[in-house]
Amino acid sequence: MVSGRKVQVCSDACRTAVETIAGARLDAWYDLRTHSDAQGATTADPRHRAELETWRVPEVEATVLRRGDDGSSDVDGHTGAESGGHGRTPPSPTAVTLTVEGMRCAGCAWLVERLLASVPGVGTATVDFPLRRAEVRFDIRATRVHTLLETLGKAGYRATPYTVHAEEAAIESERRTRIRGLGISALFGMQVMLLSIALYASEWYGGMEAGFEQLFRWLAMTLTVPVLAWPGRAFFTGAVAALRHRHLTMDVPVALGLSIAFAGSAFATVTGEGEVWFDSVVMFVTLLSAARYLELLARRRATATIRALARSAPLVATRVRAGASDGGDTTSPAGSDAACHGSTGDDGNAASAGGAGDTAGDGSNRDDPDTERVPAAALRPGDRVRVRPGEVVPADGTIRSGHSAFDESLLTGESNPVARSAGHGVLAGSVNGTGVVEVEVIRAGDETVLGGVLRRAGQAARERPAIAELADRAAAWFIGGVLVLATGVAVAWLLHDAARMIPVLVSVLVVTCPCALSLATPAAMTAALGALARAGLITTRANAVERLALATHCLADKTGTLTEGRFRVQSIMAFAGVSESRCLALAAALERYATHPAGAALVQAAGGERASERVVEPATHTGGVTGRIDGVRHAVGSPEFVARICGPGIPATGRGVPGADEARGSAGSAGAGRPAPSIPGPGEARAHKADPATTHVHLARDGTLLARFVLADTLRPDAPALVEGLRRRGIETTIASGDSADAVERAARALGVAHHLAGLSPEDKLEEAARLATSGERVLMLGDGVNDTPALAGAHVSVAMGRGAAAAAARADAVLIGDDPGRLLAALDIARRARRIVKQNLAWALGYNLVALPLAAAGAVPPWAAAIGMSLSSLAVAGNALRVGRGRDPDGR
Amino acid sequence: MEILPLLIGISIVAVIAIAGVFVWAVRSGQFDDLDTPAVRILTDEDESPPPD
Repeated sequence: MVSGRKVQVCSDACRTAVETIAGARLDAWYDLRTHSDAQGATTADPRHRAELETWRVPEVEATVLRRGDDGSSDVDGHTGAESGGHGRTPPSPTAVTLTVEGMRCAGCAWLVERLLASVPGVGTATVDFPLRRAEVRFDIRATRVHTLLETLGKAGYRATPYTVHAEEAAIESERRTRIRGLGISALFGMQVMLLSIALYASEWYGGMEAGFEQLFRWLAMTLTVPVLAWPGRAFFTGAVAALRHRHLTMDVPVALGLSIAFAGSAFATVTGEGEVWFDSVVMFVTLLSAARYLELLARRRATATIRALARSAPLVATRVRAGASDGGDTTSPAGSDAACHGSTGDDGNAASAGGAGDTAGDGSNRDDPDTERVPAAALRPGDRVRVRPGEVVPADGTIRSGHSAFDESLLTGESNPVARSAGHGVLAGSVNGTGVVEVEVIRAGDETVLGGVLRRAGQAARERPAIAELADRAAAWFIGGVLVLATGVAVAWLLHDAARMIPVLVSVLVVTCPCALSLATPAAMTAALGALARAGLITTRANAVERLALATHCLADKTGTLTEGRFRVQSIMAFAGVSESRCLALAAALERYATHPAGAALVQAAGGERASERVVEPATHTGGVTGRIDGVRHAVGSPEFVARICGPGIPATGRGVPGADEARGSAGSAGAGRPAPSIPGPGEARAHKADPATTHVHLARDGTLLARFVLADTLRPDAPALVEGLRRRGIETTIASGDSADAVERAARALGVAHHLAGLSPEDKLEEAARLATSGERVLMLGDGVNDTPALAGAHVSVAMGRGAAAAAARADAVLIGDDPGRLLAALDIARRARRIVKQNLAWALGYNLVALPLAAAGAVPPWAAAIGMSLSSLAVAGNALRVGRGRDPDGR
Repeated sequence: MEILPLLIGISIVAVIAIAGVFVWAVRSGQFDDLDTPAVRILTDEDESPPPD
C-alpha cells in the first residue's frame, strides 16, 4: 500500500482508490496535489476496519452527531457559494466533524470535499485544511457516518469523527478574538495615521489653520479610543494580572507606554497645547497584536497535531452482563476457530466490496444475549468485556478466558501480533487478531496506558519554545531596566526642562518598545513550522525547530524506521508445477479474509491478479486462512498451520524443502516489556522465522504443498540518501536496533553506516543516547516503536515515524508524515535556516534598541521618529522571518 | 477647504462600515481557513452536479 506511486496501481486497495478518484471525476486531484507519494486505501488496514465497525453501532454514532443548524451558521457563510452545485441542497439536519488524516496539500482538501459531497444524502462538506478537519452536513436517513468514513478510507484518507475538546475550542475562540483585534487596530490605525501625517506635515511646513489642527487632533483621539478599548484592552488586563503576580511581562511597559502617550496626547488635545502621539499608540497596538497572533497560530497547529493522535482510542465495548456465566463461551482453540468461521461466513459476502472483512458487526449481539454494547468510557474496573476478532481492546485488563494474538502496533509499533492467553495482560488500543477473549477490566478510560500517553502529549503542546522563553526572560530584565531608566530620564528632564519631559519620556518608551524583540522569534518560528509541515515534518514540541537545527549525531532505529517495518514478498518458490503468479493469486484470494500483516503483503504483491478467484466458505483461523477455490480446499498460512490443516504429507517447517534452513529467530526489534511467546501452539505460529528478518508462508491445495512465500522487511528506498545527506550536513549516523546483530549489520553495510549496535533494549538505546550526549554530541533520535520511546524522550531532539506507535509519536519532538525519512533532510535545512534567522532578528532588534535608547533619552528623537523607527524595525524583523519559508523548496515547487 | 470636514466624515463612516464588515466576517468563520480557498479557485467547476 505504501510502496508505490499513486498512479501505478500497487495493490487492489490502491486500485480501488484510483478508481474512486477517476470514477467521481476527481482527476483534477492529480494536478492539484503537491506531493507525489500517496498512501493506498486505508480500508485495507485491519485496524482501520476495526475502527469503522465501531461507528456502525448507533449509540456510538450518536455521540458525535450534532444538529446541523446548531450555532454554525458560520459554516454556511462560505460553503454555499464554494461547493458549487451541491450548495443548493437545503440545510441537512445532521452535522458531524471528521478529523481527516493523510491530507497533505490543498489538493487533497479539495478531493476530500468532493468525495464527501458525492455521497448520497450529504448536503455540504467543508474542509479546514490547516486543522485537517472536515465539517459534513448530511441526512441521517440517507447515509450514516461509517459510509462517509469508508468513502474517504477507500481514497486513502483515514477519517475519524471528532468531538471538539474544550482546550481546542478555547484556542479557536482566542484566535478569532486576536484576528479581530488585529484587523480593528489596523483599520483605525490607518485613519489615525492619515490624520497624523497631515499634522506632521503642518508642523514641518506650517500653514494649517488652527481650527483644522484642533479638529484633526480631536478626530485622532476619537479614533484611538476604540483601538485602546477593544484590541488594546488585553495589554492592560495582562499588565494588571502580571503586577498582581509580581512579574514583569512585556505587557507592563506596553501598558505604561500606551497610558502615558495617550494621557499626554489627550491632555494636549484638550488644552490645545503640546504634541500628540496617537499614531504611536495605534501603531504599538497593531504591531503587538500581529506578533501575538503569529504566536497563537504556531500553538494552534501543535494542538491539532496532538489531537490527531487521539484517533485510535477504542470507543465501544461488549460488556458481559453481571451474572452471566463465563464458562459458557470459554474458548478452546477449536471454539475460537469456529467463532471466527461463523462471523467470517456471515460478513464475507456483504463486506467484500468495501474490504470490511471478517470483523464482528453490530449484529453479533443477537447471538449473545448475555452481553451489552456500551461506550468504552462507561467501563469500570472489574467489568468483564468480550473482545471478538478484529475488535479493539477497550480498556487495560487481564484475560480471563480464551486466547488470541493481539496487534499492539498502536503502542509498540511492532506489526507482528503477540500471543496472549488467560492470565496475560492486554492494553487498550490493541486489536484482537484471531480468537474471542474475555477480559477483566483493570483500568478504563483516561487511566489506561493509551490515555496516559495522550494526556502527556496534550501537556507537551502547551509548552512554549525555549528561545521564546529566553526572549521573555531577557525582556523582563530589559523591561525592568527600561522602567528604571525612563524614571531617571523623566526626573532629569523635569529638573532640566519640564516642558519637554513628556515628549522625551514617550520617545524613550516607544523607542524601547520590545515590538521587534517580541516579534523576532514567533515570526520566524511560525514561518518555520509552516515550511516544515510542507516538507512533511509536523512538530509536536515547541522546542523542536531550534533543537533540530543543533543536532550533531543521528541515532536511528532500524525496523520500521530505516526499513519499512512491514512484510513484502521477497521470493516465491512454487513446488507443484503451478506458476508462481498463479500461486500468488490463490494465496491473495484467501488472505483477503485475514487481518495478518503477512496476508496484507501477499494481497499487495498480487496486485491486479485478484478477484478472478472465487473463494467459497472462507474462514480465518489462528495462523492462517482456509477456503474452497474451484471446489477444492485450499489453505494458506504459517507452515505449521498448513501442515495441521492439510495433513501430514506437508512439512510443518521448512526442512525437507530445498533451499530453506529453518531457525527460530527473535520477534524483531520491538520486544519491549513483552512476555516471550511462551505458549506453545497456534498462537505463535507465525513467529517462526528462517532468518530473523524473514517469515515463511505456505500455500497448500488439499494435501499438496503448492508454494512457499518468503516475506521480509526491506530497507526504505530513500534510507541511503538520508544517511548520506546527514553526513554531508555534518551529522554522523548510528544504527541502534533491538534486532539481531546479523540483520543490523546487513542493513548497516547496505547504508554505509560504520557505527551500529544490535540487540539493544529500550534502556540500552537511552543509555547510548546519553553516552553520546556526554561525549558532546547533540543526539537526534529517529525511531518508530515503543521500544524507542525512552530514547525519543531522552534525546536532545527526536523524530518519530508517522505510522509508528502513538506512544512514540507522543514522546517525540516531531513526527514525520508519509513515513519518508528523506524528508528529514529538508526539515533539517529549514530548521537551521530558521535558527539563523531568529539570531539575526534578535541581534537586529537588540542592536536597534541599544542605539536608539541613548538618543531618545537625550531628547534627540521626537516621538514621531521613534514610532517610525520602531515600526521599521518590526517590519524588518517580520520580513526577514519570511525568508525561512523560501529557499530551496523541498517539494520542488 | 470647506470640503474637508465632509471628506473626513465620509472616511470615518467608511472605516466604521469596513470594521463592521470585518468583524462580521471574522465571526462567520471566513478567516478560519486561510489556505484552502486560495487553491480552490484554481479548480474547474465544470463538472455537472450529481443527479439528485
